[in-house]
Amino acid sequence: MVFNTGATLLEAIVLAVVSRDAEGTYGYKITQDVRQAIDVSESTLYPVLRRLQKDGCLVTYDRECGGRNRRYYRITESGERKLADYRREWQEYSAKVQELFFPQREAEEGGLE
Amino acid sequence: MNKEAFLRQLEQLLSGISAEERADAMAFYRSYFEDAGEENEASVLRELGSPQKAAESILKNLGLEGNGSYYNSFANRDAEYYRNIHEAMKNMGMDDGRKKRSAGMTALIVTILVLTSPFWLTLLLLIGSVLLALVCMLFGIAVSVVAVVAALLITGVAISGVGVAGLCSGSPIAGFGLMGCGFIILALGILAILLMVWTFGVFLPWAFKWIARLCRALVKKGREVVHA
Repeated sequence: MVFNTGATLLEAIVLAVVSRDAEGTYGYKITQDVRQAIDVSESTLYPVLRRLQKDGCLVTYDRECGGRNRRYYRITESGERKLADYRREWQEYSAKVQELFFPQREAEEGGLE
Repeated sequence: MNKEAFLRQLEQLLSGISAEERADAMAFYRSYFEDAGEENEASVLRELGSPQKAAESILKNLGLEGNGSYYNSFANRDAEYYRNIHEAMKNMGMDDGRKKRSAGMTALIVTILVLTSPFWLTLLLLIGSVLLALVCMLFGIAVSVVAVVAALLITGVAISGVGVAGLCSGSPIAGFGLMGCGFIILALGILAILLMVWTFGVFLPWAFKWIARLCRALVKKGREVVHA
């Protein structure tokens, strides 16, 4: 991957990953899911989760699992709102970049595909 | 290094931060290892890099908190971040190398200064002498100016006095003439005072400012030449 993932994008991706589970999800799984999309060092995920937690976008709770406590992260209402903002921003941003990268010349080619 | 050693070292590295922050981070990483399972322990350790790396990203994040966007705050990572890192390094029995390097630099600078002392000491002496001479000269000029002004005033008053005396003793023409001369000299004296006030109050500050600006411009030009 030649493109850098900035802090905000990483935050948005983590929010999106956590929001997929209504029950919440745990650190190791979040890391694996995020790493499916972007190449990110494992040690950078905790600070992002901690920041989101402090901003009130995520809450944590512990749940018994196989004789030990597992720490779960769940998205809050304010987290959902933030994620919605991120989604809208991303749509605008990615559409603009897409248009710059692959200008559509409908008149000549009759559109893509 | 195994999981326990990693967690132990991480905890030590985080000893500079609040107990709550430390507990949260430790809970995360412990849970992380457990969820990865023993079979993945080696790959997790490899991925995480070192406890130092994990600690650094945690400390960095704490240093960033509460002051705006990631990038802005990244530029002004505050003293707390460095203090945390430094303390953590100390706890690990490491030196951050910064001190050593600066000590070496200091030694080098001192050596260079001593070796070149014949040159710069002479230069310093020369500059000092020139400055002293300038100060003496300015002082001399000031004293003579004051003396001239005082002489003008005294002479003016004296001649006017003689004129008044002449007027009273029956030689009105000579008396008026002397009084006129006296007033003219007095006026010259007052003019000299005004000139002096203007010189010290307006002209000299302006001249100094101008010289300072010239010097700055020269230094800047010199630097540009060096860079080019």
